[in-house]
Amino acid sequence: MNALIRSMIAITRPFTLRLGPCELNGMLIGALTGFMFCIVWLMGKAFTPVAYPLWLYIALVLALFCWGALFALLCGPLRYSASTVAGPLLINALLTSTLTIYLCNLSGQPLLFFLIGMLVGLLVGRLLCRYCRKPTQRMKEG
Amino acid sequence: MANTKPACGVGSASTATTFSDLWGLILLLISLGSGVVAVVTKFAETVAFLTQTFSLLGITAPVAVWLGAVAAYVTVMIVIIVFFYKNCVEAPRGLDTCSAGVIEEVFPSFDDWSEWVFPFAASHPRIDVVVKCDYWDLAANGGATVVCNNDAERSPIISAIFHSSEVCAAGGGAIAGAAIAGIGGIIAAVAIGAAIGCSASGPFYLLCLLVVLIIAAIVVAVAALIGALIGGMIGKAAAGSDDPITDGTGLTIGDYVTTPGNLIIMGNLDNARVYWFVTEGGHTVHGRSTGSAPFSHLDPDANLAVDAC
Repeated sequence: MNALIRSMIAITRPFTLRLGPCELNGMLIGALTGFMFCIVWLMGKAFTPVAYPLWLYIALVLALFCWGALFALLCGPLRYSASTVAGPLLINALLTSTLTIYLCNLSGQPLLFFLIGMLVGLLVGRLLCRYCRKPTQRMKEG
Repeated sequence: MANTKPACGVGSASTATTFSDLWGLILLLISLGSGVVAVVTKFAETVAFLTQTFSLLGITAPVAVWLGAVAAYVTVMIVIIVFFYKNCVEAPRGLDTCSAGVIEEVFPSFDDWSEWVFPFAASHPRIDVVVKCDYWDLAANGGATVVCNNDAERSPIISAIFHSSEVCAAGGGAIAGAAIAGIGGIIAAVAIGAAIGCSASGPFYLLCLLVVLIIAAIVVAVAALIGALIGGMIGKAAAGSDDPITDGTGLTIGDYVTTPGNLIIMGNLDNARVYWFVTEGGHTVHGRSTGSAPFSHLDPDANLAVDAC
């Protein structure tokens, strides 16, 4: 198992080292949103674009889920300060999920949803990092 | 002879953090999941497969719900294993060196609520040492961030982390606990998902499916984390404490100390130079300062003329 983790980290580290925290958060939110929308799309046999406002509801539910999952991880085991993480992460989640679902719905290609999500997350994260980044505090390091 | 004091602040070094490694691995997992879906779609009828029902232990639910619960289980297990790997298995190579100074701050293990709730993420015991000027070149070595104290001199600090078998035992116990409890969580999650049942004819069918998947993921995650908590506490109790800060007389703020060990640049500490780990049983205490924190390097420079390096 350790060898597997080591090799997986060796694959991902060259990419993750080049990315800032907002970009990584955005990519994860986008990938998760795209992947889950793909599964739901396939399960629900939604072969035509999902109508408004349903796609917006889906985006909001997914944004909330992604925000909750990442917030729990960041402020629990990773010990980031909740007050510095909550707001920016929520904005990132809302923008990324909504844009991802909108574009995925437009494309109608469920197998591309995950990639669309990653790309949207990367762009949203990069913009947020560039214009809104403040130092993120951790409660304890080590 | 005194060295030139390095400039405090961010250096040119950039190393991985637990955050970046973990996010990278989760992204890789989602990529693999998407790849599997793509391959299945290419060679088989995914839609039929995902909506097909599957029964286990008398619980019948769509395959997608089962897969969703298993995916959540795998993700939680990866998170826990990555923490264990980073804390106890990964052995980054640094400089085999030694430094000395006065302890400015101590951080014992399990001194934070999150380390009790998530025992797999507990930190090894750490001390922050205001080092003598003889060791300033180590603090800035390799473009590392130089962390400085808030004394008038802005004295450089080198942190020293001690390996704790208690922390690693808690991590190992958490993996075992999460693995067992997570399986129960999968069964519970699917049972809840099946009980909700989504009407295929309703206008919000897709939303209902999504909510079922999310609930399944949350149930599995909570079950696995409860298992990790129980397993971690059992592991911690079985190992017993070997924390040099809390055991016996212990290391305290103001102690003069020599720390030999593996000095790495640590992403989790803003790319500063940190001992990971101090050589086991290798540190030496040389008495106590009569001053109080925040300490200046002038204190150990004057009062710790001979250290154990």
